[in-house]
Amino acid sequence: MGRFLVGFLALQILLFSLEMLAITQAYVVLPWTSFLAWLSAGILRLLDAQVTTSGKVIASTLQPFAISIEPGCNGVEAMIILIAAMVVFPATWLQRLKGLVWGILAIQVLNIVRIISLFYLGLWNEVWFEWAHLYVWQVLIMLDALIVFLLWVRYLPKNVSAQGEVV
Amino acid sequence: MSAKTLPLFILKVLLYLIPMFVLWYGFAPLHLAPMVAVAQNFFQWVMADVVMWVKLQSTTVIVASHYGLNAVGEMVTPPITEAAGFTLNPLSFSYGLPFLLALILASSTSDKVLKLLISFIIMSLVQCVILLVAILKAVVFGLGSTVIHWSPLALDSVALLYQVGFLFIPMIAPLIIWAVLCEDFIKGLGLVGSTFTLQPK
Repeated sequence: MGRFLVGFLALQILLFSLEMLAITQAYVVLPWTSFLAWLSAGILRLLDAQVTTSGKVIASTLQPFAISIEPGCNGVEAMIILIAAMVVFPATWLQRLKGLVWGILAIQVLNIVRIISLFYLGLWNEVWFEWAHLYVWQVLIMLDALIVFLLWVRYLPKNVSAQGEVV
Repeated sequence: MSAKTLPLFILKVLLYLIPMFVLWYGFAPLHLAPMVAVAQNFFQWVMADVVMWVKLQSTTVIVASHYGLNAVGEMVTPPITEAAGFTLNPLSFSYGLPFLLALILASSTSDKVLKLLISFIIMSLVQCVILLVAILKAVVFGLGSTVIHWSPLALDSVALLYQVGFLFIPMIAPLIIWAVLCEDFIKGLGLVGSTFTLQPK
């Protein structure tokens, strides 16, 4: 357990440092955030024609309300945590790849639910929007990452060696 | 271990989250007060010439400086009319506390009360450090280079520490503390073939 946690934390710091680099922000994080805004707005428009998007901003055309998807709201930090946990955990690279594909998908699907729910919460009530935005959804996204990781570990073959090889 | 253990655990976490969030928010002035007291003493010790006081008002931290804007918009000390101040929401980086408490309550583990207490103390210490960094960032960048004569490297370090403290630590701290304190429960979740159960060859 101790070795896993040390490796997990070390990889976290490395990945988080990479995320903070200006080049990563410009070429990965910001385009990803804009894509999320575009996708969320696309889904919102299926439900509601009064929604527009510009870059990472989603706005209502009926009410003076808009949300901007910022760092911490794009699911990248939760993805980093999941990547670090799965890479450090003993498994084959194919198992890790499968876990990461499904895990990142699970995080981002829930993140889109978060963005859509926050948009409507904000239209309805500012206090509940702040609560959900700052506290509740942060925890739910982390819980999502934890559940994905625990499920992935649970369905790994039982005879994985400590070195991460299937024996 | 039953196959239902993990789904049951997830359900319990979701159920425990509701009362934990209510308690955390309801008692916020109480559990934030010691951190703000530490912050007040810390800044009176290291930046007494810049920070006048740090106070808690309900759930908002208010920082007052010895500086203020003059008629032409320059930062001067002592302030001519009002002192420049900053407000922070410490709950925005302490949501990990109700999450951690819910994780522990949902885990079938021994000495639960002790573990809850230990969790509360560790999380409070972590949040205290984040609060110090958040206040430092607010003061350094809020008052600007005419007041704070720090090197670009020092300013970048403060910005980086703030990013780590605001985005990274609140998410990761509850998971690590839970994994360490509830190792017995995690082992029982059926995580066979893992570093938790196998010794290196």
